[in-house]
Amino acid sequence: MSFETLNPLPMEPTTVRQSDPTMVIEKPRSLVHIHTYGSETPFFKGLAEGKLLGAQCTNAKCHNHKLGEMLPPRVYCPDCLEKMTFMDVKDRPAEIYTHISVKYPGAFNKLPNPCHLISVRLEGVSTILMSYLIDAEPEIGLKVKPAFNTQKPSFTILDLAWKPA
Amino acid sequence: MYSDKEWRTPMIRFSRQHLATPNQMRPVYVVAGGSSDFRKKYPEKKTEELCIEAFRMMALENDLKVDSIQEVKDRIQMAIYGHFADHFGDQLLGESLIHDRLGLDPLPNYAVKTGGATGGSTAFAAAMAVASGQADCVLALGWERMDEVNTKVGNHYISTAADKDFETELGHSYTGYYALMAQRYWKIFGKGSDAFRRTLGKISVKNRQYAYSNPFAQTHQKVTVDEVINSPIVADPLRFLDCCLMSVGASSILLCDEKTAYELSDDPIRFYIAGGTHTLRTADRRNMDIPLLPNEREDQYMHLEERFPGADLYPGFTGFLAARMAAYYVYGMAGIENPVEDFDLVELHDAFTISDVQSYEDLGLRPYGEGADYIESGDAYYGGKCPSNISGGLLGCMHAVGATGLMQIKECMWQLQGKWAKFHAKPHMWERFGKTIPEDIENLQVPNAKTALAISHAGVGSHVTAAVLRKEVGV
Repeated sequence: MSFETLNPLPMEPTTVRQSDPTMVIEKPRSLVHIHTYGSETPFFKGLAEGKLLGAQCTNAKCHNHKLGEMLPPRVYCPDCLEKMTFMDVKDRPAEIYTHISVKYPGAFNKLPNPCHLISVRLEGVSTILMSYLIDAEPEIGLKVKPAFNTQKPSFTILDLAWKPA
Repeated sequence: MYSDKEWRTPMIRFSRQHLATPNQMRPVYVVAGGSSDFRKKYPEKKTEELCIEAFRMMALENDLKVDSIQEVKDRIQMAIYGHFADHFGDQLLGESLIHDRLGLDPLPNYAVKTGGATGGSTAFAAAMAVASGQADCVLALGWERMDEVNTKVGNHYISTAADKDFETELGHSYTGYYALMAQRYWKIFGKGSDAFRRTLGKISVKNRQYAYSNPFAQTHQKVTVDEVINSPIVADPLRFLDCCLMSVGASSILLCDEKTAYELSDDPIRFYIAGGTHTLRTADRRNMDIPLLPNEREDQYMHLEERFPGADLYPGFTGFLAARMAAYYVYGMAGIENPVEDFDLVELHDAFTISDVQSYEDLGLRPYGEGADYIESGDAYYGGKCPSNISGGLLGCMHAVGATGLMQIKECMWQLQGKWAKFHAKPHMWERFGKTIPEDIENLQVPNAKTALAISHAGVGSHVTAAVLRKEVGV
């Protein structure tokens, strides 16, 4: 009997980083998560179509009613828990609320390094969206407009960027 | 553009019940604490070894009126465990593994996860178990194993504590999400000045200086303000030395009802704790009125925007509502009227220099907009009115996430018990971790300390716990 007969799969040799005084080994792995956008799907499809969908509470009995869209959008209003209505807010006047440059991103980052992260305040929208800036140096108060990756969409939030208005 | 009435409409509404002071049905005490040391990488020991070291120190070195580990274990009726990230340690149900290794089966246990506030929330859950009568003696123990992946993967793992669809993809850098707040705060309340940038640097200098005298600390490197503000940029304006450590280690505390506390200890410390929350995404923070603490006036913030143009939103990106609410609740429980006067020391969640400043304001150590003065006045330093992070905090000592809040509670407890020197200034405390006590170690025992505050904080302010510890006199 051998390990080969116990386990028909070829065993990869383990990389041993150190043997003494304690043994430290590598445990490599590659895996894929399968993720649903659920009822937020229109937002991510919308980016690929040049739309920026916020969500508004249309429940007249809710104190959040027409107080401004929420962006990122939500499926349910956080106050009355009724379903919200998606509305395109891409043409709203917008400006940079705050900004930074990431010089040391984490693993799996797909943005250029360094990249300008910004928080964008849109007129009439009650929340302040995190995104990134292209084609300009950021500053607080800079008027911006959305840019969409409609050619080869990734169907992630990276399909939305902002540039000077 | 943004001055219409709707922006001023309070969007979080408080009911009478929301604002009621929380009540412990019976007093809760903390009697003992312990820790492993903290390291960036710890290949010498498995997680369970570190947890057992923390437990052994808690049981055997806190002057409890017992002769053995078994006598402490005989008292424990329940355990609450804290570890932030299963994916860091690559172990689901770690609490079961640790519970078994501690030999506490078949007692009930469960684990708490609230990001960076996990340690505080672990203490919160344990305190509720005692306060409710569910158990007379509860172990709260937390750990984190952050060295199984490299720093870039670690940063990615931490960034998954942001919204994975709307934020994580943007740089995979939690520092970046804090830096957005730092930029706004610096421009609005710091007036964009170099002086404010240096104030941030002073926080890092201060906390690393205190870590120098802490044998548990991951680093013993004193730095200067110039070194902080010239250290490599992680996410502008935050630099390497503005950011907390990433650590491996464990901490524990023992919480008891009054009878058990005095049976076990001659100097139990009264323990109050409360929590607050706010949105996972900074994006979702809707405007509201500032909830006031006992030391603030109704009209105090009426002209905030005139004094600090741009300070038109609360909490905006400059405050943490969760911290404000945790403070509101626990100050009510413990009768705190003026934090900077009532606390002899505080341990704050200095994950980043900027979040430390923000917390000064949320906790009422300074009014909103004036956090920098807590540092510049000298109040925050040892010898000042209300010194902060004498342990070295997250910047200098450690951030082994599930252990962090417990480590800070334990350090406050030792200060109130007058045991700082016992656990920090004895050569054997350094030698057990393979270190040599510095010749120029500072005595950081706060004289006659009676009341302390320990904060535990998650995300960009998603969860915060606030614990007040008080030395009882004449009991």
